[in-house]
Amino acid sequence: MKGRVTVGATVILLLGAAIAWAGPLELYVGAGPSLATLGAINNGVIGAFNVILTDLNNTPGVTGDVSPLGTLGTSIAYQAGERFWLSNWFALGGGVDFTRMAASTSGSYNSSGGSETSNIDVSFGCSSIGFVVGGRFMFLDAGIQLSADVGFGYYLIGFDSDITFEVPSGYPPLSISPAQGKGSYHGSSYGIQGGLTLGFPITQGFGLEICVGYRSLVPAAMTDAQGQTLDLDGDGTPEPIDLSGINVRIDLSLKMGLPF
Amino acid sequence: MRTKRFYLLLGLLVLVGLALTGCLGEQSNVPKAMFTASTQQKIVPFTASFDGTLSYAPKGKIVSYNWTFGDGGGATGPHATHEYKSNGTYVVQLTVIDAQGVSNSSTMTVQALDPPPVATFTYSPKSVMNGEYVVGASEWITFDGSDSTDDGQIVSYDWNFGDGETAAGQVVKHRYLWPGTYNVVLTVTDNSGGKTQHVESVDILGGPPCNADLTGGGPVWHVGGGDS
Repeated sequence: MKGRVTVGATVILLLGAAIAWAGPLELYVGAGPSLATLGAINNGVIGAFNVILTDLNNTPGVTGDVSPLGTLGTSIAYQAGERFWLSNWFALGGGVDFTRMAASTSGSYNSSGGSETSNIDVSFGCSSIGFVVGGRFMFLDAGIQLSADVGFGYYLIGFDSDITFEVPSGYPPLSISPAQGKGSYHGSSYGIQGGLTLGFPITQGFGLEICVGYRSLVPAAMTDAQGQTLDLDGDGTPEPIDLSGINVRIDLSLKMGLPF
Repeated sequence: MRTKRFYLLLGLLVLVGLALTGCLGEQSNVPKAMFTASTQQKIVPFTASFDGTLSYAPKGKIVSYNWTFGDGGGATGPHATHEYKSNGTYVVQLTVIDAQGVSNSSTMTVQALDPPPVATFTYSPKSVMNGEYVVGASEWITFDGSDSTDDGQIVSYDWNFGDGETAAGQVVKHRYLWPGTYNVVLTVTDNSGGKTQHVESVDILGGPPCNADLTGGGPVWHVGGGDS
């Protein structure tokens, strides 16, 4: 907690210094596709569930066909923020971004001559709110502007699960045991991000930007309100949430001179 | 110009840093070990079969399957069988390795159960009437469970005579007051907690003796003993 307060105070001091020294203020808002790794969830949990579903779909004596789960990680990310241009080529600022992604599947199997019904209903959702501070270096301004962005982000992450995964009784015992029921987990992560921005000034102080970036975050340990770690496949190994990945964003930006 | 070059170099350094932290981050391509078993609980001795073909590798394929069965035994390959001869709880572990040398393990608990005892008993005296064994009412009957067997040790013999009376012991005595057919149940328990029951029907003919006082003032009939 003390670390977070120190970081927050440092950020406010830096931004305050930037405001005192700054030239124009730029406000921006944008959205675009984002792809997060979520390796432990996609390759671990979803992969395991899909292997079992595929095997059940092809098991003699078990009727029914349940579609595999899609991967988690693709979403639309939204961001808004502001920058203070300390010179014609360098700006400092911060912003907030939000993203939410989901994956689900449902169906049922009949076995034992139709006397047994096994239900499959799995849904996962992951959302994050990020607080990013960083700088922009504009190294080309020839009508079209080319900039490099670098920043440090702190993310609050939420993960929700709702699992009904009934394996037919005739299916052999499995070494993993999917967690049943609803779960809600929270965690946090931090890391650095960078990218390139192509800016197209439209009118004086107003422009359109295309940003391509990559963020590298520390995988987040997730726990629920009771302190239980996220272990969706019941193998005893917690699954961290890794939101590292690529994003593309289209921003609208508005530059204005500060009154002081 | 020099300032722009500085910023560009700084940006490149940041991108390199991103790439490096990406490498230090989570390994998202760890193989996943998973397997099924033919049985998870059975009375010894038994042979269990294990199938590790559900295991997968996000990148490439799995090149190695290594099994341990919790009793010192081991095997390799996607399929394995193992015989459990002694009762106990065993942790079976499969470790898979992919082409990049990354490994992952999965475990399952297998219960090897102790065989339960075999319960049986004899009783005497009994007479043959119309081809059936019968006993006279009020006659003392000796019930003997000593022919019951177990691979370990039988620690208790519990009798239920079917008339509301019970007893404990390897050999007990009992007499029935009223004629009828009674189901006598012997429950034996071994040193592992295993229980088995044996039930036999006993036909009782006749009635209580003329001097029997069933109101509580006369002779009292004790289970396994004489009157008092």
